[in-house]
Amino acid sequence: MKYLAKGSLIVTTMVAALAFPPITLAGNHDDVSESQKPPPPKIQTLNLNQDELLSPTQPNSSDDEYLAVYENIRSEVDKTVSDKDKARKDAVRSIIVDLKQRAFREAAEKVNQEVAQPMDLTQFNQVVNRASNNYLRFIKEWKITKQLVETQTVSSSTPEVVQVSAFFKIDKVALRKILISEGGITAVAKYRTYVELFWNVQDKDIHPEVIATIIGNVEDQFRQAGYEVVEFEQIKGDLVALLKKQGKNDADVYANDELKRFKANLELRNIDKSFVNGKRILADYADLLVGVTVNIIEVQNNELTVRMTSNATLFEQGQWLKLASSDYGKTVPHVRGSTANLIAVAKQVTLAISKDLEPKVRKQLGQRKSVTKIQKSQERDFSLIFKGIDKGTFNEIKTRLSKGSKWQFNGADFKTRGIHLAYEGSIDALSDLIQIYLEGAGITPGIGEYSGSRNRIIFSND
Amino acid sequence: MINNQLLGKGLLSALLILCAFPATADWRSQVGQSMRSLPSQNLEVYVREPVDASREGSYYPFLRHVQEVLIQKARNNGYTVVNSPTNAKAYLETQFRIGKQSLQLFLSLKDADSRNTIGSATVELASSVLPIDWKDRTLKDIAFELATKLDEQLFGQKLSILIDEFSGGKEKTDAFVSDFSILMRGYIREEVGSLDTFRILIEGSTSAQQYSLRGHYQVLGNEVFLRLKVIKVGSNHAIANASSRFSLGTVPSGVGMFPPNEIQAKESTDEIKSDAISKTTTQTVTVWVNHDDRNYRDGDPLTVSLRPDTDLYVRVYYVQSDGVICQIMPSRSGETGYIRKGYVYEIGGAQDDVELTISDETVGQESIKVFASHGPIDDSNLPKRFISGANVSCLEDNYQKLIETLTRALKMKYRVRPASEVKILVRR
Repeated sequence: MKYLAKGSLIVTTMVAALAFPPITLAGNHDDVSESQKPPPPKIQTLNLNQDELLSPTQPNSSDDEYLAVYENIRSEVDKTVSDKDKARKDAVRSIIVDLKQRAFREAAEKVNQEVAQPMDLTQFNQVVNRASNNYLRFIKEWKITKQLVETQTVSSSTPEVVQVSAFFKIDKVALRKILISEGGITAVAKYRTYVELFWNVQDKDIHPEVIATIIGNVEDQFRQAGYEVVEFEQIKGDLVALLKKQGKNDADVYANDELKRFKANLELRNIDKSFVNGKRILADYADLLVGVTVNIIEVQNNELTVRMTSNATLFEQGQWLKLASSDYGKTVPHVRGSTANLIAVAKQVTLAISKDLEPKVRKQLGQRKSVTKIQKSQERDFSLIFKGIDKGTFNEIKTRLSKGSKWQFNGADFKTRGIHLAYEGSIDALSDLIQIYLEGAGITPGIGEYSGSRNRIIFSND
Repeated sequence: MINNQLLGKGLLSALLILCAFPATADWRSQVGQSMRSLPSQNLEVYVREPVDASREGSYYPFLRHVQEVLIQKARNNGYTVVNSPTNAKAYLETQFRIGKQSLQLFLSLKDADSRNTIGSATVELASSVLPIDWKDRTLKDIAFELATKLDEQLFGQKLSILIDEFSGGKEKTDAFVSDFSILMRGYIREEVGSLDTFRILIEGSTSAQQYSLRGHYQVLGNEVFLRLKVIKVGSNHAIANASSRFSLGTVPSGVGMFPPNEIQAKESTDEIKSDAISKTTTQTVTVWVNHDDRNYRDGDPLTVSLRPDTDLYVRVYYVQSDGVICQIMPSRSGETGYIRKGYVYEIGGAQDDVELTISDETVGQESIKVFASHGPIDDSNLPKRFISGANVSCLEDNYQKLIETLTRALKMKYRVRPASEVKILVRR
């Protein structure tokens, strides 16, 4: 430790990572007389080591790490403490503690921004504080790159000031895990969300524009909140094929008559209603189902009332579980023949139920135990069906797959010879992986058949 | 020069207003005065259309002017008038009551969220201060009122609808077509068609017809009672109905309420037990004519089209206004009248060997009646004479005899009824 004369700055290094030359305070040149004026500056060529100049003073950021760099952070030294060394040390410590907290917050926000998921602010702050207190798990490296104290003359009443520069390198992967597992961030993007619309109003053919407004706005709200919304048009081909397979006519789905076509498509998009085992089929396309029911659209005494309920169900471990529901209604003056007025009210009601439902869904998803088990941020639930195999072989397959490390085993259904698991990656990669894995264990499951837009693989030796 | 022109224009418009509503200034200022008793504050207000306080829910076009004045006076009162109720903080609601010599207006300003009344006012406008025609209504206004009532019951839907028969008479069971029914059917079609709830189908359209709109009128002394029903095809279940009662004086002179051949037309009417508007047909075959308004004049060609819902045997008769009945399908002896599902058969069309042209030798209500059976129809006992030049057979008996013969031919226990029917009006 070195001290220079009073009235000037003292340069010292705690960790001695880098040393900076002392900086002198510049005087006011206007007060300097002509004779005292310094000679004109002498110009000379510098010959510095180029590599040395470019070499970084702190490490770089990476995908897995967050680097927080803070320069010249100042804090006053408590002048009431007689032990100056201790007072200066306390001031520097206070800055470092604050910076550490700041670095954690910035890293957590960065993580949240990267996963583009909604967060519960209170829960988020609590998790960040906990992570910050338990910093050794998350801080990979940190350094004080500069520490100075600005001292004053003995007579001066101005307190001393410490000035610190430092960096913190935070493990984003570890931080992301804790933020997700402790509910600071709900990783909703992994849930493929599908919106269905029903109405409780018998004998009513609701106006297509109103239906489109309701579905569009619910989808939009969930999409904006980070969910992956399954577009009906993308799965329509599969659904039509299924419809035909079940011996139903698909002509109206492509009818020239716009209204007829709209109705047929609307009926088709309500998968669980349109098909035998609809809920099971729906699970191949979506993990989260948002059902919107129009309870009332009517004009009574010249007043227009729109009331809707919505509910969200989650497909988890082979079954649909209700997560949350919402209900809202609005009555406004009826304007003769004005579909625009109806659409405006329907939109207001839709937004109200969606804004109420989404946070409830997120909270429920965040609290689910299965979520804590998920280690990978973008895992998907898959169903594997082993056709034509006996109970014993299926049991062996189940035992083998439950021990696999490349996926998360979620359960088995002996009746359907189905295995449910979560896997991060494409369906074709999983199909190959399962086949190789089981064949390596002496089981021949056959070749997996699947469709890119679904999450079910059927293994068969046929 | 410019000033003179402006002055001229100003005077002209002032004169026009005075001509249309000679006493306008008075009633307008009275409305404005009543408005001033409502709380004056900076509010975003939606001014609602005045509604009839009575159960009739009648529409009077003059109340549109009242609404315009209310909007203007609301602005004068410091309110910001908005165009949509969803953007408003308050609603200015007006109910009206038509008195013999006055128009009463009940104004209330209500909070948009709670619907609590913020302020209210009543104004009674004497007939003497109102324009002379303030109570006037036309048949178009009646059509507007009925379309509004139907729309309110079906609002929020999109229905493919066919404008079916409009008929009536003195009794509930009368089903005459007349100048009035044809005119009203046209007005209703126009008003209903302007509403987003309905998609009007052209007769014979291949689009799935889900609903039909029927109308029935009854002349009761000096009043007309007009009722509309929207019926779901297949179930015959009425999903909406609306009615209006109005003075016979609303019907323009020269518009007949009954067909000129009322007595003859009654003879060819099928028995209706309940009321004409609710009458049901078997609907196994759809029939329509080439004039959508079902209105014909001398020389107009007539084409009758048939589309069966299933394979059928048919007999199609044209009942003239004088009671003469001619079989127009099958036209040749020996033909069975077999028609197949999925095809449209035209009688009197370019491909047919029969040409049908309307003549004003007989005027009034005429009808096309289609009888259908799943098996062959043996009508050899029906006395007919073949008119070679026309390529049709006309019956020698009246409609009641025809029904009896067909009932026997089809071995039915009950009197047969047409599977489908279209009535037209032939005018000079």
